[in-house]
Amino acid sequence: MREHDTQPGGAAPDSPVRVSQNLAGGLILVALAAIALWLLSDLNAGTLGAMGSALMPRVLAVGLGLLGALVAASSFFHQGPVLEHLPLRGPSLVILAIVIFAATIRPLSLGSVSLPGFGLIVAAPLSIIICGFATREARLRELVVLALALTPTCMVLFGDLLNLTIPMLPDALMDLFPEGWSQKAMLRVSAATMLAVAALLFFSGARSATDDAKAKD
Amino acid sequence: MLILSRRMALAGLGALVACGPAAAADWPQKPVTVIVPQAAGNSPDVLCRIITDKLSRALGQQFVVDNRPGAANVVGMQSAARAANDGYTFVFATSAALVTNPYTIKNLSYDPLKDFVPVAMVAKSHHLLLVNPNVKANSLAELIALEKEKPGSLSVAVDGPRNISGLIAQAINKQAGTKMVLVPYNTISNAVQDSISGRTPVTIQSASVVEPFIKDGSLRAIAVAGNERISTHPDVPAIAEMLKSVELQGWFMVMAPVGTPADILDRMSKAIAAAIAEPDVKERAPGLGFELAKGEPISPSGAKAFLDAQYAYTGTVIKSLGIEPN
Amino acid sequence: MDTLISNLSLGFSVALGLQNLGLAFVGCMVGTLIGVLPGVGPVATIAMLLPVTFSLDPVGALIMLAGIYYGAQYGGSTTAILVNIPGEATSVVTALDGHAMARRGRAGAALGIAAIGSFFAGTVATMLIAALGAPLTKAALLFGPTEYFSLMVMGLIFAVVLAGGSILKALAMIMLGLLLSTVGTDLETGDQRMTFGQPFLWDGIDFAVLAMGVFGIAEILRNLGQPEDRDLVRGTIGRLLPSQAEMRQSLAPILRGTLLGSAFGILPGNGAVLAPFASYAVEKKLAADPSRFGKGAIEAVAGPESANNAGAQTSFIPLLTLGIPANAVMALMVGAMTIQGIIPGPQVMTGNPSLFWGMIASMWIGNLMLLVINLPLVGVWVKLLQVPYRLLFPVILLFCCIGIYSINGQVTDVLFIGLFGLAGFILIRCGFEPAPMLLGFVLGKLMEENLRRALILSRGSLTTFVTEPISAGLLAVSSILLVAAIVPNIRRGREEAFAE
Repeated sequence: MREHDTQPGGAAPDSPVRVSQNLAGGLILVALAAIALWLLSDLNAGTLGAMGSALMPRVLAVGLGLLGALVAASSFFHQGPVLEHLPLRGPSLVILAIVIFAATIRPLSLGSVSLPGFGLIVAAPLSIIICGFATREARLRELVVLALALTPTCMVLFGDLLNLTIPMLPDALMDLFPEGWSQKAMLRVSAATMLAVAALLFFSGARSATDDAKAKD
Repeated sequence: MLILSRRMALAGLGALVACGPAAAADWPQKPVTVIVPQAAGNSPDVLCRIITDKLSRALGQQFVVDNRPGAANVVGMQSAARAANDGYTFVFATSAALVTNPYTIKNLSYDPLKDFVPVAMVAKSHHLLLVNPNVKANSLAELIALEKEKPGSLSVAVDGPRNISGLIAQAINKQAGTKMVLVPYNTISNAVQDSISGRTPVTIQSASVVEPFIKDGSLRAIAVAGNERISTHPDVPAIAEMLKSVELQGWFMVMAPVGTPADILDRMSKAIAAAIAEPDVKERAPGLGFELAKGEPISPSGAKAFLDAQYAYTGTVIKSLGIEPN
Repeated sequence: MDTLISNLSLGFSVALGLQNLGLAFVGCMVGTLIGVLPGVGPVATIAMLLPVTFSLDPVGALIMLAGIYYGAQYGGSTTAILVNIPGEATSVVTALDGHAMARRGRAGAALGIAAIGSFFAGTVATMLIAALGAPLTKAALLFGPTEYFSLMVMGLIFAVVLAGGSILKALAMIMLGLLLSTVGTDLETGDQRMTFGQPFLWDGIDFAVLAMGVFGIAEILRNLGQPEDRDLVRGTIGRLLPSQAEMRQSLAPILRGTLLGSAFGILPGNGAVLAPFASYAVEKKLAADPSRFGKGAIEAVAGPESANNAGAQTSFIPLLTLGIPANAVMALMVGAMTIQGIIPGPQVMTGNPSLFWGMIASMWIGNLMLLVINLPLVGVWVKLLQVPYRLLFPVILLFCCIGIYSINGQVTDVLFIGLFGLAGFILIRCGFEPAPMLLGFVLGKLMEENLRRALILSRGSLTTFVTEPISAGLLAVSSILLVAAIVPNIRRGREEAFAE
């Protein structure tokens, strides 16, 4: 959280342009303030006795812009810590995982594209595996086991115990069950199946890992 | 929680026994969703949960409450309007969503009359006009006289100029020629607190909320919003007894997406009628500030007639107050 | 005094009944569970459980719901300390130094002191409610829009003190938070402000979405970029519970936090939100070495956690004695009471004493249960941190997604935690701190509402803020605090300049 504490003046030697944190941060705030003012441009500020909807946000946006400008200006007086270049892999995969979760949890229609709702049983494993690759240490097999074990746990925890209304199973899967099964029963059976597969994968994985170790010996 | 899951297991068991071909006569075959366009725990939500609890038992399938709060009911109404009309989605609509929004919100994303069919009127909620005990007025007439002595001196705590109690206050101002100043509150408790302490000497609140404060004398009810007196306060006159046509009311109606089979609507409305006739529901409703619907309006056709009349009436009131949609 | 003792013994005889003890336990367990899960909050859970309470007797129903409420407060601190996700405004402060402690391998001590401080605060607050509930109520009525606005101004000053780094940057973040709070439909005019015409923004930005983004998701992004930092957690675990020295260090902050929390909790306008922030500011001012704050100072966990729990407890006072709920959870309690045919208000104490005193006694029992439930759990939670981070962060992310989706069932909320996470990450990279922004956000809504009301009531005259005595007093304290916060900073800046 406190970059400047952990890395005093941590200039990245390989970064092509040396921009100070203050300059970049200040300019971002000025830009945000400008966007806010633009969005508020057609609203009425009113009077003190009958405040209009734009009065408070407009005052705040101007304040934010001024403070942002001051922060940016301060970078010219003393060279603060330098902005390091942003890593791409981590943030982009984490955000992608969130987007995938949002897109698959329930039916989605965006203009011409429309997706059926897949429910948690699909959304959770997808986002776990995608987001797992945000770090270079990721191992596919491990993530698959995690996904297969965590998803049914969440299904039972949120859907069955806490009774929250979260879509769990896709319609196509529910149609596979015999007529008259309750949703809870379908949920429990699917969860149990996933857990079994996870356990199978885990133990076979453990055995193959020990086999590997033995082979090395 | 234990109780809840046991009930669910029973519901599941019941469903296993009752298999058969899908037809309106066998409705419901799977859990039914009831969308509430309000946050969980709000009074419409509580009423809806009491009723769906009864429906689940009576019809042998789980009735799931799906809270879709947001944007003055618009989020929930919009998703209900787009839901399949197969009899497995209903919406517990408020009067604000059905008859106020069309006149206060520009480009409303649903049409209350065209996207939905009424199933059953469920309940009305009553609003009272109250004053702090230090206000020297025992009736609406005296309050109006007091305000006219010093126009603009009285502040009235309301829920916002475009919401029900704000509309009632503006309608009184317009008809009586007073200039009470509206102070908007988005939490009821703050409004009540400021009226008890006398900062906003007048307030308009749902009857259930202010009941304890009337009892202990920290607020005095001087009128009922609407055209008739209510059973819990028979000696408090209705506003309409003095000012004609200030009849704005809050109410709740179960609706279905347009095209839902008529026989399902019929079964649902009969089940709702039975649910609200159960003694424990009847007993709890007044405490929550609701007067349960009776007779004709609980049927689909009766609900439709009520909705149409309210739609037209609210429109004239809002337009006469000079409120433009935005 | 005699009546107090006889009242309390009546209360304990009710609360110690087998069924009520069981219900308190169930409530505390469910509360802890939902508190630990990011996003899933007490409001939604209590609403879901309302129908279950129909079949219970009124005392039992309220005891269970109250257990959920403070169980969730406890659980929320756990998540804030372990993974830096504050579920509610009141645990933002706990996340600051609590998570810093966890990163230094002192998660156990942070969790332990949070539980102990909360229990102490809960005990004191319960006694306070029992002894002074009724007379304190009158104080709450003294606060109107003018006073609340000035109180919020004071809160903003706390936010300045909260900042670890540059005051200028903290001010900028507060301003950004305030600005974000104005997004949404304007109550008075119905205008939509900065919503891009999207209905999901009409009600403004949800606190949980913003907090989860700028704290939780941004924390994941930050950790992914700094492998050496997060491995530190696994390196040293240290002893599980706070050491004697740490306990001694925390004693005074717990006392002060309890006092502050009890005072703020009585205010019905959600004043309890300010309590942990006030406690943090006070501790930082009093500390011999304020620079430790933000890097894992145990006082900064002990004080605010006590304040938080004391506030949570005393916020029952306006409900029980005035019938005015202080926050959304209390409003639900009103719902639960009315369903049971009890109309909350002053008459409950006289008309239904076994309910009133039974509930108060169960508050203390609930707090004791939470301590008993939570202390053994500390070991489990700390073990959780030993899971390799490459496996832990996908789990955190998934719980965030499910939790936030479960609140309103909105896909856009899920997308927004990603968006705010990215934005928070960039701001952190630029040397800004998210905590002042969150406090600004929380205060912003209350501030604008109360400013507008105060000005309508004064018919447009700004002098109302200095002519009303309480408001004037609060503003005076704020200006003193502001000067006290800025002067050393300027002096330090000058010294640095000379040193160069």
